[in-house]
Amino acid sequence: MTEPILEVKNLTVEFKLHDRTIRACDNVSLTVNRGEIVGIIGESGSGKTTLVFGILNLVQAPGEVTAGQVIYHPKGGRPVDLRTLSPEEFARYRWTNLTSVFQAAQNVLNPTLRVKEHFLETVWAHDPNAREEDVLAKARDLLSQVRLEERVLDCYPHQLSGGMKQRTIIALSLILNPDIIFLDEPTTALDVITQWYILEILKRIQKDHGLTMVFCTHDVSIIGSVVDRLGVMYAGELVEYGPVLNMFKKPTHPYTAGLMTAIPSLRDDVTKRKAIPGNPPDLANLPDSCRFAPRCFAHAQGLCEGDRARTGQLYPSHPGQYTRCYSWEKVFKS
Amino acid sequence: MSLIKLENVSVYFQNEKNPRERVGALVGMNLEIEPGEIIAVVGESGCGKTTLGKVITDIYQPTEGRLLYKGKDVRELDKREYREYRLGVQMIHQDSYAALNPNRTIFQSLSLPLLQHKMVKNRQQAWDRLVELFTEIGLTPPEQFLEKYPHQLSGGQRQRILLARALSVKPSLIVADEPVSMVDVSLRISLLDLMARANKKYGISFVYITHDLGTARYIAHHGRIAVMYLGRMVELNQIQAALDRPAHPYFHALISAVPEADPTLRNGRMASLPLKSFDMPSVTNAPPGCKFHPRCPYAEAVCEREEPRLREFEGGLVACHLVEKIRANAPPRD
Repeated sequence: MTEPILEVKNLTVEFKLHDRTIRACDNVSLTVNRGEIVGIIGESGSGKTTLVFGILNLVQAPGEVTAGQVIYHPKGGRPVDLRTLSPEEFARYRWTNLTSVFQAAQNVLNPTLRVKEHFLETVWAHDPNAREEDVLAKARDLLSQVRLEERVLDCYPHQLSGGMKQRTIIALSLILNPDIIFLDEPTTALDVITQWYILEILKRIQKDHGLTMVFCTHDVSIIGSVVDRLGVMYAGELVEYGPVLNMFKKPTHPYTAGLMTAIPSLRDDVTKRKAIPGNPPDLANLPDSCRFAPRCFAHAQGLCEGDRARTGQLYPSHPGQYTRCYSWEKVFKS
Repeated sequence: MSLIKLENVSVYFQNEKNPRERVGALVGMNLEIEPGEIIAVVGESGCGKTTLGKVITDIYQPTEGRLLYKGKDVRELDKREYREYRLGVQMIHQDSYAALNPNRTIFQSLSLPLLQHKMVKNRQQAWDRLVELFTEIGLTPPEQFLEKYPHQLSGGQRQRILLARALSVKPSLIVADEPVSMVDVSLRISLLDLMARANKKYGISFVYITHDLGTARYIAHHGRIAVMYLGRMVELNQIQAALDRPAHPYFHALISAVPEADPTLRNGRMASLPLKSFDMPSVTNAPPGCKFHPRCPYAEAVCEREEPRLREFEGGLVACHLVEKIRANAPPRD
């Protein structure tokens, strides 16, 4: 059951600016198991998109993956380190094994092509001998799974609404039977009802196809009810990782704890909601301490000195849960 | 006397190529805003909530109906009164980057209205006023922020500056159009708290336009909520009463679609959404009768024929023919 499908080891992505270097993704390690849904949350600039781009080898200049391994375990095959592949070799894995659905679906589809041409192009890029009827039959089937009508195949992107485009892209991402799919803010910019619908579709597809999903978002409430495990990113670092229930009930990093109380919901007591003080960090100007220290309640209360060197690793807290806060026992005692 | 009153306001946008085709962005809207109250306006994109905000601030003029400020038609105000109205009703926009002139420092942008309206005598006084205001809303040290350009600030800081700009002219009403949807989650609550404080301290009324029910409940938990659908108001009630016992079937669906962060509640969610179709009909081609009937699971023949009027129901207003019947057949909520 807990067979790994993807192991990310010490992945570091740097952006070289004229006078300094920004580490948008700093030494991130995480393992994704086959068939599970992993959520990654973080504020804008926390590096969650960069992490996904790093994994999929999509980082563009001036950005560069400077260290780390991305080990992919194909079903019944030998593990490969995706980082060592040439672009041509990587292209074989992209879409057939690893696919992605990005934010702003509006911009992903080519406005001059009909939806069916997107499906055909994608398949032919990997298998030039595929028969058109077969591809379209499969596309129809996938579209019905995301509850779109057949006529969508003959539409141009501008004829579809935002929710329909997003569903089209989800269907498109599945055309080559991938086994891991990366979703980066797939529901941002959509209305709540459409969002609900897309989450429902994703959950069902995950169940039917046994897919593995990595789900990035800034809004914890969207994925709380969907994911199995949750990773929290802050200032380019993974600060906590663990089973979703524990992360909610027993967070062991002050940032995670703060995020959980920062989101207004429809049920709980409004007076208990609290914002995290301060501002998200500037990656070009990071404090020479624990990166969360300037906003941390434990640091402010003097419970923790925020030693940078000791935040260089993750510490096991609860079963299956890891935190970058070395003072977590002191901080979360009460 | 209410501060702002909308009397049967409609806004139609005409198709340039075909003048006979017109789109009802806002239809037959009646709303009174009392001094010191917070009204949340919710709905999906395209429901007319932004148009409503722009009518209240006189950016769009109603095609039909009247807008009254302190009991007088805004079109009949003399120059002095109109100026008072314009100062009294301020707006905060969603995109803080677009709302500030990138070529001007914050001080240049914010001192202009103060000088223009002779609220201060000179630049020094304007500076002092803004320093005082910035300290109050937590932009410290204020001198540093006043001398910066918009691009040097984070989204949360810019949004605070927009709030400061609106507050600087001592308004009696602020229309906030999705003020926190582009702000990081960890900071959203602090902004909402600032608005709630301005509401309490100065008795400023707020019209909070959003698609996020969680933040609407947070800021307006003592206020009212107006639910809009395709340019019409379909429900108006005290917010807590409305959320506990939604009357209109559309609002019911909207509440059910709000994602719940807590993973222990995941089984209740995802069960079903009381909707027949997930896609919103286009405004250019609105259905006859009740605009919601094609998606409504309870719709009967009368809903296709007749457009329901807003009427009293359980202390609030609702536009639905069948609300009593739906309520009688609904399973009791815990």
